[in-house]
Order: sequence, then C-alpha cells, then structure tokens
Amino acid sequence: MTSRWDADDAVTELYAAHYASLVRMAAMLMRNTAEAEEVVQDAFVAMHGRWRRLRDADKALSYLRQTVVNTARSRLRRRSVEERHRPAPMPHAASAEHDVLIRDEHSDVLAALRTLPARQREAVVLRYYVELSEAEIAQAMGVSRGAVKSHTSRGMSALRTALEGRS
Amino acid sequence: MSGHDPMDEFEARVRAALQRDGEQIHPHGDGLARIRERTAEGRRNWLMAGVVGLATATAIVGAFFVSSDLLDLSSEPERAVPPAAESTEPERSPEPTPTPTPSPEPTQQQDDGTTGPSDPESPSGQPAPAQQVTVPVYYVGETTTGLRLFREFHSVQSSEPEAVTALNEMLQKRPADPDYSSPWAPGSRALSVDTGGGQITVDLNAAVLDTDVPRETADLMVQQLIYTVQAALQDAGSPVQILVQGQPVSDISGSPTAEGLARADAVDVQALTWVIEPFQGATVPQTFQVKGIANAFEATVSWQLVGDGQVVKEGFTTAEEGQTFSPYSFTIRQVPPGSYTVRVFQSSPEDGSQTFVDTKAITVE
Repeated sequence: MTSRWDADDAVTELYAAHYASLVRMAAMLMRNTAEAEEVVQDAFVAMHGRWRRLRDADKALSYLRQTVVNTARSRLRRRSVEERHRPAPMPHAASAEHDVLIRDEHSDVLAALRTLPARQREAVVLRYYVELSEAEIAQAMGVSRGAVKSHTSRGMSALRTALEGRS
Repeated sequence: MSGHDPMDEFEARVRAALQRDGEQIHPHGDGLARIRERTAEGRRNWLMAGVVGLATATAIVGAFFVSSDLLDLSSEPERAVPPAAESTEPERSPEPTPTPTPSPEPTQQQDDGTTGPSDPESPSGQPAPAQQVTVPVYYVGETTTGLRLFREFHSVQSSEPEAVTALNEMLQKRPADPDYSSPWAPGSRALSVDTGGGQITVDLNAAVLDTDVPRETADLMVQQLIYTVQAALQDAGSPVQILVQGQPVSDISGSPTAEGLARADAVDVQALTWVIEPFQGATVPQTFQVKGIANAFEATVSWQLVGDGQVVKEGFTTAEEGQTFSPYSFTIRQVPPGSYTVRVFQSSPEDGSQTFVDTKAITVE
C-alpha cells in the first residue's frame, strides 16, 4: 500500500500518524514546543524530497526520527555557541525563555534531563519516552548499539545523581 | 533483574515523568499546512526551472505561479529538470481528481490524544472516516486598488474530493484572516466538481443565486471560485463551467456564467502583496521568518511589526523580481513574547504612503 503513495500522500499519512509524537520527542530533546515543531516540519520536508528512495512508511518514520534527532542536536549546539558569544542578556531574557516544560511541576526529571550531554539525553528520551528498541535508537542516533547502551546507562546515572542531589 | 532493583524503580519513575511531560506538549494545528507550503515551494522551483506543464502544478502552488512570468528564477540545483514529457513522473504526478484515498488504517486518527485541545482542527477524539486534507482557498480582501484575491490554506477533515472541500471552505467558512471575506450568499454550497471533457464543471446549489453584490464584486467572486477550484485540482488551464443544480445559469449576481470561464490574469485579480507565512493567528518563536509573494514596484517590499499600537520593528526587503509576482522573505529577530501584527506593504512611489497592505496577527512565544 505505502509503495503506491506519492510524496504528498506520504506526508499526509505520516503526519496524521506521527507528527504530534515526533514533536513531543523533539520538545524533550530541545527546549520548547515551537522550536520542536520547526525541527519536525523540516524533517517532513526532507522526507518529502526523499520519498522516492524511501517508498515505505516504516523506513520513512525512521528517517524522520533520525532527521529530528540530528537537527535538534545541531540546533542546540548552534544555540549554545550563540549564547556563549552573546553579550550579557537583558534582565528579562531569562524569564522570556518560554519554557513551558520546565515550569511544570512534574518536570523535575525533564529539567534534570536537560542538563545531560546531548547524546545521553537522546538515548534516555528514545528509550524511556519513545520506547524504541536498542536497534532503533542506534539508527535514530546514528551510533552503534554498544554506544546506545553506554549513553543510556551514563545518562540514567547522571539523572539519578541530579535528582537525588535535588531532593 | 529483580523487581526490587532500585534501578528498575528509577527507570519506572523516569518513564512516568516523561509520559506526563509528554502529555503537556501540544503541537499547533497548522503543521501540515506549513509543511505543504514548503514542499510546494520546491515544486514551484521545479516548475520555474522550465516545465510549464500545468498538470504538474500543485494545489498549493496555486496556478498563478505557472501563469506568471517566473521562469527565469534560479532552480534548486538538486532538482534536475525533467523534460516536460516526464510530467507524469510518479512522485509528482497528481491524480486529476485527487479523491482522498480511502484511508488504509482507520487508526491514523491520533487516538492517543496527540492533538491538543487548543487545536481547532483536531478531530478531538471522535472517529471520523474523513481524512485530514489541506486545501487552498481564495478570499476577497480590500486593497488600495479595490478588491483583490488573497489565498489561505485550510486544514480540514473531509471525506469529499479536495476540490469540493476547497470550494465549500470558500463558500461556507470564514477566512482565518479577518481582513478577508467571501461575498457568496449564506447557504451556498458546492455539490460536485467534475473534470471531464477538457473543462472543470462545478455544480453549486441554488443558494448561490441569492448572492447580491455589485457587478465588480461578482466578477471577482467568480474568479475567486475559479482560482480556488483550479488550485485544488492543480489545473490552471481548463476553463470552469459553473452549473446551479445541474443547469447552466446566465449569471450570478450579474456576472455572466453561461459558458466556461478562464481565470483572469493574476495581475488583475490578485493582491499585489501577500503574506503566506506566518498564518493568521499563528504562534511563532522569537525569531521567525515571514514569507510571501509580492508584485512590487522595483521589487521593494516594506514591513512593520506592530505591537500594542506601536511599530516595534520595521524594515524592507526585496522580492526576487520587480513588477511581477515574485517570492520575498525576511526574518524578524528576537521579538519579546507577546501579541503582534505583521504588516507587509508597498510604499507608493508617488507619495510614500502604504499601499497593498496585508496583515497577520501573530503571537510570539
């Protein structure tokens, strides 16, 4: 069935099935939903352009995930470079970080997650939130399964330390 | 591993916290339309690269890109230019009447509540056989040169063919932008759209005959229908025959409709400046891009960001070409969160006054 989709069909179908969950995943990797949406939309546009090579909903979904993880990571990297070079922020700027997630009372885990290095954060989100298999995580992150294991366990230990230190 | 392993408990805690956090994240409703805009842009470039096959125009391209003189704009390098004969290339070949494919899995409706309550387009849990489509809809808006056509995209749940869906959005739904309107009489409805015999036949219900507007408005309103149906069908070339309850009618509100009608030249009916993105009512990050189409004197497009009655930021940009419909874009940076209006306009070469204004109300977060 999916092989009969054209690129537009693929966008429609995959959007309906996975857009919201990809945005949630991206929002956990990044900081806010608006930015997460941009990243996911970028991924759909890229997927549209590649559809003839993907031709399959499952492949397209892993492609989308991989693209979202990559783009989120490079945006975060770029932003941290920008922030380092920016003059001292206006007093308002810190609170202007409209971080809906961090304000939420349940989000101590998520707040701690944001302090992790990108790879560890990705591994934890993909495993414990998206519930992917190790092989799928390896693919999404573009690393080996062994690396997934070590990022996950280091990430979880760091999370635990962070959370215990807090309470 | 035993159930008492503290790591297991910790994993469970992380899982539960992330799930709860995930539930707080609600994407906005217009993602699909935004993606479509951009995938269509690629195609527009592809068209501009020299393939003037109308059959390849997409719903979103809106056929005026094809009829306008954009052929010399640079194309995306990675898109090879296929010969016109290849316009049936599978990836891009639109079905002549894109009937919504019967959805293979009825579960594709996000049954995990993934669309948030703030999403007006969401099926909000009720299972419908309809599927989500994004259709182009033209509306009429006032400009300094009189009434002109503006286009929106609407994402809707519909089980009808896209062309019928687009027309019914146009006839029955309010535009997202309150500056636009639709002159058609209340109760107007499209019954069917047929593409046989080298023309597009649109059958409307009798309520359309109640429309009573000045002749000039009626002519533009008929063009509004032609632009909308042609865009939805990805066919700007075929004439449009309007029927009412299956029969031709001499006129609608004074505008003759007895015979098939061609689309009018874009320069005569379309707004000369319009904003494609952000959409009316959109929520955007603090740095965001504004994109649109302008047919501007010396290609100069001016903009202002207005918040609380004050011009917060302003600037100008250059459309890719002057005096023809041509894309422009610019970025507004580091806007503090709040409600704003983006105004895009042209300055009159005579007295510098603002002409051809299009505005979008947005929220920056």
